[in-house]
Amino acid sequence: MNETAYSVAASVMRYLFVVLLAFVIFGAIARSVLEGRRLRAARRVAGLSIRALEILAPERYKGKWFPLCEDTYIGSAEDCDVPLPHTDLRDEHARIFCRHGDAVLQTRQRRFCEVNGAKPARRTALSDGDVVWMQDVCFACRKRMPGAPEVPDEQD
Amino acid sequence: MNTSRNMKSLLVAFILLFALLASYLVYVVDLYGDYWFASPYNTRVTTQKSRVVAGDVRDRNGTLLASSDADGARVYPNDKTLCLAVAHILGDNGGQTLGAQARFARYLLGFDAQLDARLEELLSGEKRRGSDVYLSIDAKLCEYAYERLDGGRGAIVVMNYKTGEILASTAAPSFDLSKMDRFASGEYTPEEGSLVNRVTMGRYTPGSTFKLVTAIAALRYLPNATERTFRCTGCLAFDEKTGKLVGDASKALDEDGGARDGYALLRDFDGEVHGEVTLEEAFAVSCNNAFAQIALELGAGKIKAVAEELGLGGEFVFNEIIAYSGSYDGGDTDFELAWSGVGQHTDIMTPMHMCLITCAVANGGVAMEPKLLYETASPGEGARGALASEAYKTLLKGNEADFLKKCMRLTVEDGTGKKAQIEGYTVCGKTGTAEVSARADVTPHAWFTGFIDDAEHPYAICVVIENGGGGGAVAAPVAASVLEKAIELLD
Amino acid sequence: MNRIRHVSVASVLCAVLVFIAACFILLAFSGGRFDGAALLFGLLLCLLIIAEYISLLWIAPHADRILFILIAFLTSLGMAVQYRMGAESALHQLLMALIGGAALCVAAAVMKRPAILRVMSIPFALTSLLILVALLFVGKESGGARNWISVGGFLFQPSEFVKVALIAVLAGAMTRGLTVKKLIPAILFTLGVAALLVLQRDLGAAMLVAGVFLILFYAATGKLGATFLGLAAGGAGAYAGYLAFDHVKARVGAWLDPWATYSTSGYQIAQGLMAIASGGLWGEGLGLGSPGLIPAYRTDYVFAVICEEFGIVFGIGVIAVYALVVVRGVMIALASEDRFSSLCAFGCASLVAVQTFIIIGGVIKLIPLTGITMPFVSYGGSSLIAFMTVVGILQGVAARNGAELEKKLREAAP
Repeated sequence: MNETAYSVAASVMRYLFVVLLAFVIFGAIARSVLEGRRLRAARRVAGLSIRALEILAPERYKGKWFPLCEDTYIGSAEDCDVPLPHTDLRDEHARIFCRHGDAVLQTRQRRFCEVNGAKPARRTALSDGDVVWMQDVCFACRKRMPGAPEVPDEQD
Repeated sequence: MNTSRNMKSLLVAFILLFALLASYLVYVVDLYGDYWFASPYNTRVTTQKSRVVAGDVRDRNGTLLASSDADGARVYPNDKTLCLAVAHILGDNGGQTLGAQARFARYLLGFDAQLDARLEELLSGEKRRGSDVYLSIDAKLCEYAYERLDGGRGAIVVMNYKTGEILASTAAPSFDLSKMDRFASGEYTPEEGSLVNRVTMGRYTPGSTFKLVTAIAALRYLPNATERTFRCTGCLAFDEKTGKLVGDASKALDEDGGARDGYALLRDFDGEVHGEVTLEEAFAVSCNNAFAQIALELGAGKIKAVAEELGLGGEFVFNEIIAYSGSYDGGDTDFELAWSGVGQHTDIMTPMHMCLITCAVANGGVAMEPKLLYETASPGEGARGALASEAYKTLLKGNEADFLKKCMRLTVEDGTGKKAQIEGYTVCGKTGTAEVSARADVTPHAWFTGFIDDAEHPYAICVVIENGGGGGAVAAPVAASVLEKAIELLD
Repeated sequence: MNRIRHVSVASVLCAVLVFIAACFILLAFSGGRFDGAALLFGLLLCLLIIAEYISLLWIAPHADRILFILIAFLTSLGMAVQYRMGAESALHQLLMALIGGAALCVAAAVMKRPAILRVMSIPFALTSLLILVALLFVGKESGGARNWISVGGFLFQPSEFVKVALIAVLAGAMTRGLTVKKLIPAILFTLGVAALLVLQRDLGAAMLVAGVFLILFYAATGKLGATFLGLAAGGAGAYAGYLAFDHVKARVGAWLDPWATYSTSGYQIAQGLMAIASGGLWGEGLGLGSPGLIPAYRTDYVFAVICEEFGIVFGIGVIAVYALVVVRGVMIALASEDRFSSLCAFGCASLVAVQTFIIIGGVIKLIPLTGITMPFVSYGGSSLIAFMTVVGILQGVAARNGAELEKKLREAAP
């Protein structure tokens, strides 16, 4: 390739290189931010006092366990984190999220909702052993999932 | 033991360091980039010359000043006087003199070429052409100014004080541009000292034009400077050995009026005695006596401070030209201080620096940066305006500039600068007669620096004629005729 | 939720690979003839990066992917620029990158059990001092500094590795005790290393060592007063060096006005500045500049070559990449719960930060020039391998952080 043709090609490529570098930089920043958020969420979950829900009622779901994540949606819709179709719950009936190391229950449907026998506030912090009634669903808050006492060291 | 917090603050420090790095890079390349690129040591420029046909250099009206012929060699106009007049400002093509051709190599050699120009070169198979450069000077004005120097040595510069454009810059003795390609081999030896651009690099004793600086110092540091009067007795006497001022000057004079043994005198031009004068009057008649008293009253420190604020002793960093600044040293004794106040002793000024100060006076205290580039035109594209006026520095306060304008107006109206008057326009200025030797047979340098006080014709000028004689007698009429020509040509 | 789902970085990794492809395809056509070796080189480089990515994630599942990609970019940029200036040196660099990649994996594996490194503090310290002393006698001189050793035909610079060992030693010392009294052995060690480096006329490395020490000191103890005292002492030492050594005087003079000393010490800086100015905003284009005019254009002055051919906008981008590397490194340090790992990681991040600042600052005339390399980009096996090891340490700590977090998540929800 003669000199001028190369010169033209190199001139065009200059802009391509800058574009690629910009893509790398902003891509890295965007992913860093996203990764940071996920890690923070994971840390929040790891620090929760309760990590699981054990369903006590209705009969069809009794004994089922669900782990909690950073923002757990409970409802009758299939895509909820705690899906309980064929109950009286709405699609997205309530959510349990992390706040300062506590798992906090938030629901708009407080009329038929009870936490440990009492009417809950807009947001209620849950602890180990708390029993929650929502419509016809009842579940208990647990510290850990069944079968989880001592996890073997994964690094061996 | 809050390691987390410490690390976070250190992280902030790191980010700031990197930000500093990036911004310094941008800042320094923006400020010095062209200067580094145009450095005579930059061989990239030389290698590019073999790849690209250099563009034309023209003046603001399009008059051709330099172009490349079919073989790529540089050709200059046939008009010999024109070539000599613009030789310094244009500069040679080999980097020996740092004129426009070296400075704007970036445009002339197509370093700023867009992609389509390179593409065109590829398709046409011909050598690429650089951009054409239009300078802000008016070639005819330069030629006229050069002719007015009439074979003597000296420098003339005309600037637009509102925009900073250099309208004319010429220096003599000059050199032959067309022969400069044979300079390196030694075949062509220009006249000694002719390669120096006396406008920007000619370091001359300023003589009475330096009183501008002293006057500014008086305005700033002497209380009531505009109203009080000074007593000019025609002669100040100093003890020859110690340099101290002698109170009674009559002791130092002998019968003929010369200096007695053991005494040194400071006199006015032609032994004139001015009596009681205000600062304005002293300026207009260029009274050495009064200004020497002012200098002695201020002291070297204050004058030096003002000089530094005006740029003396410092370094000019202009984008488009290289110019040396003047220098000032107050001396150690009263005698030296007194003479330094009237522009003698070791005072040095360049015509460009003097013109810059004059421009500041004319422009309300703000000196605009000297600009030489008017337009560029890439091949295939039309002309692109490249003139970007910017203020260089505010040298004076508004009221100081106004007062000095008054002084300079009086100088031309009724003082030493009468010969600089132009019909129909108000010319303001300051003359200077700089003694350069104690020998009687060596004539002083003639200086004139001034401007036209008119918004339609904002032209400032500085004229230096080496060994020309009296500033008012020799330099002022030259300045008047050049300014008249400028009005004629630039309308 | 019992797993950490990492963000997908595939697209950014692809961008880096496209960058490599673009560079080497272009380079294949430079110089008139078609150079197939360039394409092969580019392909090898891409394969190396992919292989390294896979190995790293296998050894250290929660390693920092973003950090990896940034380092891959810098190393590839270095390769492209080296290839442009001479294929043989680029091949040598590739070989060193291979070794460096292995070193990275080893370091990552080691840092998953930081206790190993911590135990090695004293042996590391002694070995470093021994090597530096040995260099005084056995070392070969190159470029004014006597810090090269020739082993089996390969020239390498032990001082680069001493810097890494120093981080481990200092981190270990600062984990044990935080009062100035308890840290006296560490201070003495640092002073010893710095003094030996100064004796070898490797002033840049000495400055670096002092800087990293002060940074780690402040990070660990938070004693602002003592840190400033140390800074002042360092400044005094630098000034003493200025007075004592002529070549320091020459360096400072060249920094203040390279054009005045153009024929001697200012030449390098002046050429570098002219190169940077010639590139302008977007650069001349890869292969179109004249890097050969700048002394040390492969090593210390690569940044000037990058600015000349890729442009200043690209140069600022490179500075941004280094800044991101440092940020990721500090994030890794902050996320670590183990004090030793945290300090190690932070020391590594600081090393990159300070070294990058010193060399780029020297090239753009912000500070006087010192003879140190630009991490990952400069030609130089020892430098590349040492910095890969540094990155390996960071990845190891990151992996450990991730593993610990996942363990906690799994504890309650397997």
